[in-house]
Amino acid sequence: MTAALRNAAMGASAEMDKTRVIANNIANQGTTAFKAERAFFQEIPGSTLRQPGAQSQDGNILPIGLQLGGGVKLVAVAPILTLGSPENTGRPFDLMINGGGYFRVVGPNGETFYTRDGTFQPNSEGVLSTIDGYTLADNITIPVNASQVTISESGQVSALIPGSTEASVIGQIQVATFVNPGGLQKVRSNLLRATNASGTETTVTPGGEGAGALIQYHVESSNVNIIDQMVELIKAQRSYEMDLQAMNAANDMAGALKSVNA
Amino acid sequence: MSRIAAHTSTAAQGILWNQLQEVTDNLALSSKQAYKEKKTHFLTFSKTLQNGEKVYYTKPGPTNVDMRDGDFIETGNPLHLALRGKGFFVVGDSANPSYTRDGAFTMDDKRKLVTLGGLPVLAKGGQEITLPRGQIIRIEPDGTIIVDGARTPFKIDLVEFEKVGEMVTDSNGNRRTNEEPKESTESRVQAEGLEESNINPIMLMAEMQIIKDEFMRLIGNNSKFQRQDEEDRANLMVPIRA
Repeated sequence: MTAALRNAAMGASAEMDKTRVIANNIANQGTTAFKAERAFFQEIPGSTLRQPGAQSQDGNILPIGLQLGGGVKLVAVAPILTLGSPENTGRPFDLMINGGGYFRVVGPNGETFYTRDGTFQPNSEGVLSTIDGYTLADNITIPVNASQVTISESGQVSALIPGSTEASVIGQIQVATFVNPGGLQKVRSNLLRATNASGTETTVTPGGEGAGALIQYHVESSNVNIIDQMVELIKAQRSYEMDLQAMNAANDMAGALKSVNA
Repeated sequence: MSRIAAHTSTAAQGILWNQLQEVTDNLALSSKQAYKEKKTHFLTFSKTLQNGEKVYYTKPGPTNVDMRDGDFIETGNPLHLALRGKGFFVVGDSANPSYTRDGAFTMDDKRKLVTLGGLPVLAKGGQEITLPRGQIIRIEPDGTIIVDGARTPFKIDLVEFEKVGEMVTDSNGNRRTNEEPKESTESRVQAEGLEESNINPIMLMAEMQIIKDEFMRLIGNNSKFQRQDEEDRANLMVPIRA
């Protein structure tokens, strides 16, 4: 008798989880290169009222069974990997990867992380770094007083050095690809770590197959589609309300039964 | 007479409880990727007692699974697959496989294609699929896996069943059946996305209201039968007292 109540409660709980994921997506709508996430659910087996092939009271073999469901549970939250749109910033060190690659950056302890956020800036030593101070793994150092820095689609970094009339190549940015980018572990906002599920990185020259070319003066905006998220939010809200109504219906029916038997 | 009616009514209430459980389960799973709406039909039987009275009772009949495709939602993940058609993916142990329509797959530490629950996805022939090292995975509509433009020996196994309603859910949320699967030649996979559930919540809400109303009506009837039974007993007692 409580199974219907439990199923409805689990459904309501799942919709709450879903709403939390959607709320985080909406909150990060303005976060550079943020990937919208989605909640994944799994069905829970319920009670088997009748086994298929079991013997009936009359001795017949029952051709079909009866199993009523046991609700739902959250099993994963994974990113939607579609590309965000380019956002022109006018800043020469801002980069967007127009494809599936990741920038390789190095943390303070030498560990390599991956990010899609191409908001770079030279640090105090002139090395291109993220806003959080993680340096590009390719160790691109911008010389003092260099001007007209250009970063090509294939990642070649050139600049006009004082005393020279022609631009000089000062570095090459490589990007990483993964066979299962959905398996990358989020360390913090926009910073990812390779896992067994993602596989190890393959270092690729930007523009190579699957990696995507670089776009200078641009960053990737989040791929959160606010209209889609609002639609999902309304769906989750309505489903939540329906689950609550189902709980009410089960409660009313149990109450009516109790009043008869009282 | 009223007692038999009360028994029949109580049996019907039990069925309505089961139906409510099924509706709430369908509603709860409305956000689960690739979930298919289930509906069990209950059949009414009659039996004649020794005293000639006829009693009616209900038993669960076939379960129908609505196999219509759910909407496609793009995720951009090359290992996410939406099945179009009536097929199922084969997962787990090839000697004792289970089946799912949920194509939210990932890769494990041995580069095997697995479900979110960690079960291997099987290729035709029952092989587990180990993804070759490479940069770009593409999965063709027929399930053939292509890495960096080269065809791998793996083609994802797609099967179908005649009696989908008889499949039961196992502890991993996948389906099991004793029926021998047959190759699903018409099913197609659509990569980089998932299938939504095909639940129609409006219909379910209407159904839930009908179940509740019918249950309340039967409860009301039970009260009447109970009162009538008490009156019958009281009438029987009168001649004895006299």
